[in-house]
Amino acid sequence: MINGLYLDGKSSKRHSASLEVNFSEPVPVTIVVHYDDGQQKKIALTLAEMKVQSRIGSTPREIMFGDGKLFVTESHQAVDDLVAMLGGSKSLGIMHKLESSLSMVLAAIVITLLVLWFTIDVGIPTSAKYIAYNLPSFTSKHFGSSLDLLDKTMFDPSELDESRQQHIQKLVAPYLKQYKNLNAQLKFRSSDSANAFALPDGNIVFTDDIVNMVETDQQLLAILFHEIGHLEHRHIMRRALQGSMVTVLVVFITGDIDNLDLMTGLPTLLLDLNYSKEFELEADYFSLELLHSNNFDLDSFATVMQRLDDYYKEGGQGDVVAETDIVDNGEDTDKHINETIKTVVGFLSSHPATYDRIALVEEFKKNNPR
Amino acid sequence: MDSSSQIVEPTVTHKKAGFEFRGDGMEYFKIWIVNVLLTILTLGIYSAWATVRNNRYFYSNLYLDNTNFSYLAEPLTILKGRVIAVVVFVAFSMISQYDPAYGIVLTVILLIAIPYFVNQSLAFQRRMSAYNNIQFRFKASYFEAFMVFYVWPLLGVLTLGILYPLAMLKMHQYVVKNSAYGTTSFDFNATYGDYGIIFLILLGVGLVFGSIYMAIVAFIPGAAFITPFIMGLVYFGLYLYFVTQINNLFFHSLSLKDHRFNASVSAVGLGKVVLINLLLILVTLGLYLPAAKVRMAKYFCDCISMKIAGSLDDFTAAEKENVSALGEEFGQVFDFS
Repeated sequence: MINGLYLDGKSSKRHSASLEVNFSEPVPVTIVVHYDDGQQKKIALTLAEMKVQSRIGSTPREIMFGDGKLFVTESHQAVDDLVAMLGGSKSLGIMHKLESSLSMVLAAIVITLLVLWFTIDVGIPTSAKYIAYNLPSFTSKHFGSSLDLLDKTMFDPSELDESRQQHIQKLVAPYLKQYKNLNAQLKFRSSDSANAFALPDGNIVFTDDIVNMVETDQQLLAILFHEIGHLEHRHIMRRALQGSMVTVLVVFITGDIDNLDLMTGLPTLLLDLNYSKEFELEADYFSLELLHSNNFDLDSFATVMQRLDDYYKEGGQGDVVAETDIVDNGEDTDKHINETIKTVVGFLSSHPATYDRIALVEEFKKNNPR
Repeated sequence: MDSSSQIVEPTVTHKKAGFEFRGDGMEYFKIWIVNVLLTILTLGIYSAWATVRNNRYFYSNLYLDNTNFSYLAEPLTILKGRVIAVVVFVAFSMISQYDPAYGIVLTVILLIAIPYFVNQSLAFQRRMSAYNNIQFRFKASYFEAFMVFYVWPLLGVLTLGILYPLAMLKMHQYVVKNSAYGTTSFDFNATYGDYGIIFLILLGVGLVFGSIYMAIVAFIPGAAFITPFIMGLVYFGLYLYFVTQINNLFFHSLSLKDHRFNASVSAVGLGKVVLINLLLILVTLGLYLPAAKVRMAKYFCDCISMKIAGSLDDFTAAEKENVSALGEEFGQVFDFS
């Protein structure tokens, strides 16, 4: 016999009740309700008619039956035994068993951390890459409006000489032609900083400042190739996909999107920046490969990176105008600054540090000797 | 008092019943970590079951007058709503990042839909909550939700804050008066003045500290380095004062038939809980999160009580109705509830 309470689901009045089992009866379970006035009511039930809630912590156990009726008891073991004897679901108590076992909980902590690490490091990037390459091409005119929007908000028409523009367009034309499938085009715009970026519709934008900053045609091509690399590797789409996946992951862990904005927002931001850095290095590598295959000087890439770095150190404005801008002022290459500060700054930057990018050039040279 | 007062004394006896949270940090940590593990291993599908288990833990451990609340939602209902919401969210953020112009159009559509989804969300939450086997209810019009979420706050801003307390009052009225326990509606009797005073005190204290700050900056330049720290503390203090006062006012103004509520959350008490939680979460790299939630729940429950007129035995259930979890899931994914 299990003692508990009975509620009929129509009124909030509680009645003391007991649950009795008699296996010789065809309907083995009887709930006996004891009313305050001394009257009794008996309700006979089969297991199929009862919905036994799984155990959670040490909270009262609920058995629902009929149309919204409820039997509540604190006798957890008796309820588990009853369900087992009646041949009910064996999985009912499994969650509580998992949660009560210390070794299970320790294992859960370790496995959770490992799986999280793997998901972030491999799972999300790989699946985003797969999706980005297998989506139908969106590089149509429908998405052409993003440059229009930037023109209205961030940019003015370019102030470069017509002849200078024509010279550059002639210079880049053969390379853009190779990436016709990406609809790659070069556009010039004026803004308050040296910047270059690629939009998903294939538009590559150079600001006047960045054009004025480069010294040679090869340096300019190095930047262009980097931006083509962003297009070729579908970085904007992949970053958007990965951002969505990280958000979903954080929601899973915290249970809900609740008020802990700092606790959930900070890891999301750090992961996004980390992914961004990987994309930049991928685009850098793409640029080096193109320079190499066209027999250009790889140092032009390293030089232009260093020049950009110097430009920003001198206080150039580095607005982050798009996902794939080539530089921003969040990075710092001063080798003398404290390692810790360097690490923190590195974490909080969307782009790799310049010395890492230059190191990539050296490594590339070693692996691809002329 | 003379004996005549005893004659008019009502026949119902009043008793004070406290809210009580009987959960335990360690116990909840175990439930939470197993939930997180299974959620990740199942690529998120288990999250619906995890949510139900989390909510059941918090509802079932919440006691009023020695009886616990219940959470009734089925994981599959939550899962359905969640799948739809996540698909829409992913599409939304992808399109927005791909082309900001489309993002703006989608945002406008979303803004128009928000009042509807908040109504749905509250209806689902209430219906999935029960006490003594009687479910709660929520039913509000789109128009009222629209007024509460957009029009009143906008008027508050346009009047430079003068009508902002009214916007808050309207919001609380919307939440409370549209809610019911079974067939019995909740009532709310706060006034514009009740809210106004809290805002005025906040403004006054803010001005005093603001001028002290200006004075220090102007006259003691050497102390300037410490002032941001002090201002941070003042801001935190004002925030706690505001949250606790609004919370207490809310419960003082709330009633269910002749039953009334009382709350005595204090800025110092809440501040202690928030700081201890924050510190322990940081030190444990987030593993303290579940225990922090338990501590917070315990603190609030300790401060809130109900003044029961007679007994809570005579409430009756409302007719059955179905509300989908979609509204709630939308609200959570887009963070507007």
